[in-house]
Amino acid sequence: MMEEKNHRNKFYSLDNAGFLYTSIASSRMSTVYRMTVGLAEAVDKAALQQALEQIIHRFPYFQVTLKRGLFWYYYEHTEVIPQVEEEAYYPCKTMRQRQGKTLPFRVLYYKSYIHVEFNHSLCDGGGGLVFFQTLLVEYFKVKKGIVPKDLGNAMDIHSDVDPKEFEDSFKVYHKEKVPPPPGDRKVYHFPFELLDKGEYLLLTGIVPVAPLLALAKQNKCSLTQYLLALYMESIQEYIQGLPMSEKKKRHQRIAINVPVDLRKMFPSITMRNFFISLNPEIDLALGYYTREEIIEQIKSYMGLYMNPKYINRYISRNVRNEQFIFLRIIPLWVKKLLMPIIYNRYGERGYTSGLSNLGVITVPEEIKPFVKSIQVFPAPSAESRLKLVTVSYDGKLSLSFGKTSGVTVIEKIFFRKIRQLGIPVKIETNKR
Amino acid sequence: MAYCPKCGVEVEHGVKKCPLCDFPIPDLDEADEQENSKYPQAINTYSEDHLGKKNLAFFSIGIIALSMVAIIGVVYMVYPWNHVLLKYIALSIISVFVIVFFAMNYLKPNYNFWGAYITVVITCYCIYRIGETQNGWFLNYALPIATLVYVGISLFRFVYHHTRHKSKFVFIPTNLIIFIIIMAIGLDGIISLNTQGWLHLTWSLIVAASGSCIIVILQTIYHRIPEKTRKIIEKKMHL
Repeated sequence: MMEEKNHRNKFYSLDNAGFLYTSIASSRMSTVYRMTVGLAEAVDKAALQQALEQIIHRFPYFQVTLKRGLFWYYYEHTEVIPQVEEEAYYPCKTMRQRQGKTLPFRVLYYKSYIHVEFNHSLCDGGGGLVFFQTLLVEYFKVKKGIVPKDLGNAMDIHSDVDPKEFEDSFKVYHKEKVPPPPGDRKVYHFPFELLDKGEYLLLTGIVPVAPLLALAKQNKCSLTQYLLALYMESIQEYIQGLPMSEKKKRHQRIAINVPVDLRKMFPSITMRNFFISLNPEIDLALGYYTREEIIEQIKSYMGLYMNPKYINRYISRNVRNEQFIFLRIIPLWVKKLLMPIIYNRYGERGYTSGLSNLGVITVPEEIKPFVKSIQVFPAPSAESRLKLVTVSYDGKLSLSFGKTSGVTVIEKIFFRKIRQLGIPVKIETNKR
Repeated sequence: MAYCPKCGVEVEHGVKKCPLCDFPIPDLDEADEQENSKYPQAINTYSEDHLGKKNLAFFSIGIIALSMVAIIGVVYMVYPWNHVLLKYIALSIISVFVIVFFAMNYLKPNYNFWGAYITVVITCYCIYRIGETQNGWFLNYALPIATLVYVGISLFRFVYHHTRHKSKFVFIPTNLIIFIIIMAIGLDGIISLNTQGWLHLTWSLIVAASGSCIIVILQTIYHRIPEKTRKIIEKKMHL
């Protein structure tokens, strides 16, 4: 109880990624991502609300509202209890948190699905998953009285809050005087027409994970790398089929943004953002690539760059940018005006699309029969019109595209490729 | 279980066409798409949210304008100060407010443009009346120039909305230059008509000539020189 009181009247300065996400948020870039769980039966709203109220005290750093500082935003603890709502709007809807008392996450339900949407300034997929799984465990405790023996990834809600859970790990692990990584070069962007502001489409392909894993093993790479190769190949195929001159096609470069969860690389237990993105790329000026060549390219790239030393260049650059005095003293309202413009121009020019693999998600054995599917969807973005997040649960891999465009040509090529490998695909979408 | 015959992927029960390729999927047992879908029919709240913010901004500006006009009205009545200046200030506040109203895009774009044009003309006329100068600048200069700008912008918008254009980096500059040329010729014409009494174009011709050159270059870059012409040029230039 004492512990809990200490967290009241407390403010949390944003983490390094949070600074960026709060200042670039706009009606098209809501910076909100979604986690979905499909249950075996319809969701009980009252039980979900009760579960949420029971776990929120364990996550004081999530029970916050965004406040305006002089130079940056910050999160302040609030006593507002989050409310469960029935889903009625487009997914990943903008959170108007600059204006009011909304919490930076929302819990929704529809039929037998529970959705939790997080603002990316609050936490990344790793932290979000812990909250999500804790909610799920608590829901079944309330609804069915199931108390699992092994909580797995979920948090024990009776344990004390560890200050390390809300530390800014970027600041902890950055090093002074590490040179910054080389800058991004402009790469190919999808020329698709944007949807109306406020609209967002999701398209999920569900595939069995075993055959894909076997194929990855055959190619001596990880599942993420294999999916990445398939995705890059699809984009290459799309460019090859475009009605533009061969010379122009050869000018294109395809890069995919791949977030790396740094909790695996550094000993951090933070629930907030702690990731860095790498951009493996293929340059069509060198010729068209076969699938094997793309896999080789990605494998070599990851082998070269995915190590704490090189990753630290990114961390240190980001922290340095944040602490750069001339940037810091610009008043918040100027930052708010300029950041979206600068980010649109430079922030995403270095990658065509994004692919994030959150890995295998498990739930405690006792509640497994009631949980049918788990999916995660990316946050919408105007420049990178199509993004992909993959998670696997119970032997099924969901490949979830989030799109700010109505065009489905890339997904068509991508899923047809998977079909050609002899793997069955099931498609779900919110498009009507 | 329903499958798309073209993509070979399984789709949700009751779906009418493939989500990937839009190929129609035969309806076997007339299942309702809405009933089986994982997602509700989504509502887009963007325009509502946006309208809320816009109204707030507009009403704040409205209150400021109103109170300023009220202050000036009181000063005008009780304080024997420069009355002409006060009239100018009140007029400019009101016209700025009206322009802001049209810029807020509450009406259809065409009405907004028309409204802004009328506001400018009326403001000019009021200034003309307050100033009591009798050299006729309103009819000679203000009205024709405002009309010219209005017609020019309308034309630009019409062309922009009613033509197919693939590359905006070529299309917008081209039309912008055409707009500038029309403006220059119009202005030059109005000035020469007023000063010399007849149409005598001078500097605007230079603008027109150089502008046309830029347009030709832009269009050539975009459309490329035809094969035949290129061969002739190559021959003549000994390339």
